[in-house]
Amino acid sequence: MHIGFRKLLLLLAVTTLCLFCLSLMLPSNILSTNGAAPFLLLELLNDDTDIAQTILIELRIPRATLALFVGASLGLAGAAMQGLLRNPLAEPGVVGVSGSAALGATLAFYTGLATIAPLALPLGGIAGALAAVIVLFSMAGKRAGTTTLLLAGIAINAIAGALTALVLNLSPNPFAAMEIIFWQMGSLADRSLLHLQLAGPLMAAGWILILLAAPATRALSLGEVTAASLGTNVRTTQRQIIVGTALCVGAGVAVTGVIGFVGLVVPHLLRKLCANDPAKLLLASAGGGATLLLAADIAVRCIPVGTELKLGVITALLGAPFFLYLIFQLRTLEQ
Amino acid sequence: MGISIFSRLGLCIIVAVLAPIASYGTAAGTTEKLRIASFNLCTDTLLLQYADPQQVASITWLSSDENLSPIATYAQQFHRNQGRAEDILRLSVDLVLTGPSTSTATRAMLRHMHVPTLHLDDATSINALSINIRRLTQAIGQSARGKESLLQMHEKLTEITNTADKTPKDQWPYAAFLQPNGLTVGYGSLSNELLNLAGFRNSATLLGLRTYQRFPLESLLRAQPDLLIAPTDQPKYPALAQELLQHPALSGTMLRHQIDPSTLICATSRIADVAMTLATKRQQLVR
Repeated sequence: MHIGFRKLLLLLAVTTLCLFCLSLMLPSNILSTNGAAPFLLLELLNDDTDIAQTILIELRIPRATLALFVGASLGLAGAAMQGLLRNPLAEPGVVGVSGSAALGATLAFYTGLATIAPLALPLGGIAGALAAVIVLFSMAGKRAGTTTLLLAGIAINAIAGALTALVLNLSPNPFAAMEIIFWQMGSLADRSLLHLQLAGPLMAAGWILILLAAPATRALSLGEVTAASLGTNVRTTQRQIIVGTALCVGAGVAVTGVIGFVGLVVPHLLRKLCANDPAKLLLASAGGGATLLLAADIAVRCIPVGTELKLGVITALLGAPFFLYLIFQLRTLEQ
Repeated sequence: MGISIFSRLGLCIIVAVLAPIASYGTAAGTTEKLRIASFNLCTDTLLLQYADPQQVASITWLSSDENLSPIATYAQQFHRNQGRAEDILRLSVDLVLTGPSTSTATRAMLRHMHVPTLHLDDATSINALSINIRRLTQAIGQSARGKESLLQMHEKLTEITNTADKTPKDQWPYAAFLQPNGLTVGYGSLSNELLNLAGFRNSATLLGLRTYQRFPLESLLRAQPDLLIAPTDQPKYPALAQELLQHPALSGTMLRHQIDPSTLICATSRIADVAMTLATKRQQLVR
């Protein structure tokens, strides 16, 4: 299949828009409407619009917009990290950036800090993500292979996961310990406009930083020395990507929990369509991530289960087999 | 009020078996007062209410948390356990109270140690609560106290029934319970019985929701109950479970009734006061 980059972007934009509108029209769970699925558009046109308006503005817009923002963030961050670490398996969830972000966010939330200063929640997530990216980058900078990167990811994920569980267990609130599933599997259910206000601008700032560095990533993909000889400021570009990724992933995870594999699947599906251009891939991956997460969130709401199905379940079911496939491919390449 | 999520939550293990009650009560004839340990938040609450302070050998750590127990301050002075048999090995205990959260392993261990136990399940109706209170007070040798308290409770409940207006049930206002994690109560629960007693229909049962099921926020907004009974205070240490109750979508049109969460967790004779409050709310609503 060969389509131009502009057509690809247009296609992604249209799909995202359609899925966004579909997400606004769907109830939080198709089972919960008890047979008669009320159609929100009709309700909004009816006389009794107060309730429909509240549902649209307070529940569905935050949910759909967060799916869009977090999906775009994860897709973009995946593509950016793969460029930065020069490894096709670098993905925020796999290498532990999302896990560390969850640790930072749980620390800010369960200690009560975020109750006093709500901004502490996304900032905690960002701090956690930043720490993980810096550790990974300092390792990959010394020409680490795929194995080292993945093993480092396992270690970071294990530490972050254990500490998150510890924070939840140390909380005097008896409900806290059971909320580990939210932080490890992610969810967009019952998020509010407040969460969007807290995390949205920070995620957008991350996108801007990464996209500003996009042109320089072309030169950087040829290696640091070549890039420097071409007049690229290597350090600045790398810093922009590191901070940008931390902002995107940290702020997103702080309000939705860890949603894995989006940053792995999306860049891989789009790489060929972008003619292997790292700068184009960044932009396309943002669109692809948004599409994937909106679709996953719609799937979660349409699968008839009694209790809430976590978003990370869907993305892992899609992404983990894909991850295995990529490892097999890399193995045959290495041999 | 039979919504003892905590008795499940606190110790995290649900036991469905009703243990045979150890032959008990014969020793009550002696002048020496029995020493009792409790392994469950709800049996703690009942024990502290009916036993003399010197009878209480040990209660769970949950009882000193004011978010969970209505008598947390009084509970501070007693020995605390984590609901495990080894916690009371060194105490001289004549009877152990167990609840639905007590694990089978713990109960087997208690049997092995030849410690008499009394098992009380969560009360799911006023009748079940009365039976629980009667059994407990009998076992700890405080039958008179139990009878007196039940008499007062039933007096209050009868008063509510008598003063309730006689409009047919299909004209009653709607109410709904919303608890941490968005859980609600439906048929076969004490809370539902109290709602009906106070003259409310339950929005959750209308939608076919059962006790401990989630009331989806969208469905709740559509149901628009006249009264939403929910704890509104954010606890000192937050959790997502309570954050949900602060969702801005709920701050709109519904009349909210703040209920101290600790009175909702375990059923005691205080349910009569809860029913009374609900009945007063209803009078205000209908007027």
